[in-house]
Amino acid sequence: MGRTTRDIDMTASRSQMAIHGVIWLLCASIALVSLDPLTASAQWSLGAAGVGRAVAQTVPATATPTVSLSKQDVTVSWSATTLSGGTPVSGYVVRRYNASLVQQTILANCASVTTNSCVEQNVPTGNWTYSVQATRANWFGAESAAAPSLPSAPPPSPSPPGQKVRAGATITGGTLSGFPASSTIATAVAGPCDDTA
Amino acid sequence: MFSSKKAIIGSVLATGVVAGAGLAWANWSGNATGTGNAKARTAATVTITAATGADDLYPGAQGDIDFTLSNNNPYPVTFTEWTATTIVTSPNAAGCPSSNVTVNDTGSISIPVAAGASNLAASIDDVVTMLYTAPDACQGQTFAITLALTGAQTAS
Repeated sequence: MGRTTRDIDMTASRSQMAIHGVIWLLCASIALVSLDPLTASAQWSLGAAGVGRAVAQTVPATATPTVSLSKQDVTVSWSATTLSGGTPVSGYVVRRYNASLVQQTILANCASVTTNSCVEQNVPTGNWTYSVQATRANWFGAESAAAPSLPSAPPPSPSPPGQKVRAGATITGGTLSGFPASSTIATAVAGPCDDTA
Repeated sequence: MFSSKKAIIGSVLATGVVAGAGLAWANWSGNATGTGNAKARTAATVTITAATGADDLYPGAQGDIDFTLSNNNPYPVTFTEWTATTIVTSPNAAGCPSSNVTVNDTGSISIPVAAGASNLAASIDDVVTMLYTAPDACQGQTFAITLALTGAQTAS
C-alpha cells in the first residue's frame, strides 16, 4: 500500500518536469514581452512621391444674343455664361457690326456690361448686327454668333427752325423750310402760330 | 497534489496567453527595428500619379492638386504632411508660363490609404493660386506639380 522508492522517484521526476516547463514558458514569455519597448519605438514612416495636377477653367462662347429696336434704341439680350468649372464670368463685350461686318464703336450702356442685357441708345440709321463675348479678368471666351441684322429706323425729322407745329392747324400759304428734301409733311402750320390756342 | 496541478495548468495557460499576445505584437515590432525577425518586410513607397480633377483655377482663384495613390504595402497608411515643389505648365508653357501659378510649400493633410489600394483618388484642396493677371492663354492649361507626402502605417 505504501509508495515504493520508484513511485517516489517518478513523482519527483514529474514535478521537476512541470516546474521546468513553467519556468521555460515564463522565461519565453518574459523574453517576448520584453520586446514591447521595441514596439513603442518602431514607427513605420512612409513616403510617397510623384506628380499632382491642377487645371484651369475656360471661358466658353456666349449664346447668340437677341436684339430688339425701339425708335433709336437697340436692346441686346443674351443668356448668362459661366466658366467651364461653373464660375460666373465677370463681364461681357458687346459689339456692333455694319452690313460689311465692319465693327462700329459701341455706344453708351453697352460699352461695359456686367449683366445679361444692355440698351444701346441713339443708334444711327443703318443695318446692324450684334455679338457678345464673355470675359473673366484677362480671359475672353469666343465671340458669339451675330444676331440677325436689324435695320434701325431713321430719326424723326426736326421741326423747321423758327416755326411751331401744332396739331389741328392748317396752312393756306407761305413757305416751309428746314425739312429734309425727302420728308413727308403730314401736318400743316397756320401762321401766325398761336401756341396758346 | 491536485491543487498543485491546477496551479501549474493555470500558470501554463496564463503564460501561453501572455506569450501569444507577445508573439502577435513582437512580430510587427521586430520588423520595425530590424532586430532579428525573419519575417521582416520592407516598406514600399506609395506611388503618386497625376490625375485630372475638376478644373477650378481662374484668374485670382485657388484650386486643388489632384492625384491618385497606390499602396503596395499589405497595411494601411495615413499621410499627414505634404510638400510641393516644381510647377510645370502644359501644353502651352510659352503663352502661359508656370509663374502665373503659385503653390503653398507645405501643409498638413489626412489622407488614409487602405492596404493594397490602387489608384485611390485624392486631392489637396485650395493650395494652388492663379495670379489675377494670368493671360488669356492660361485658359484650360494643366499645371503639373511635383508632390511628396509623408505619413505612417496605421492599424488595420
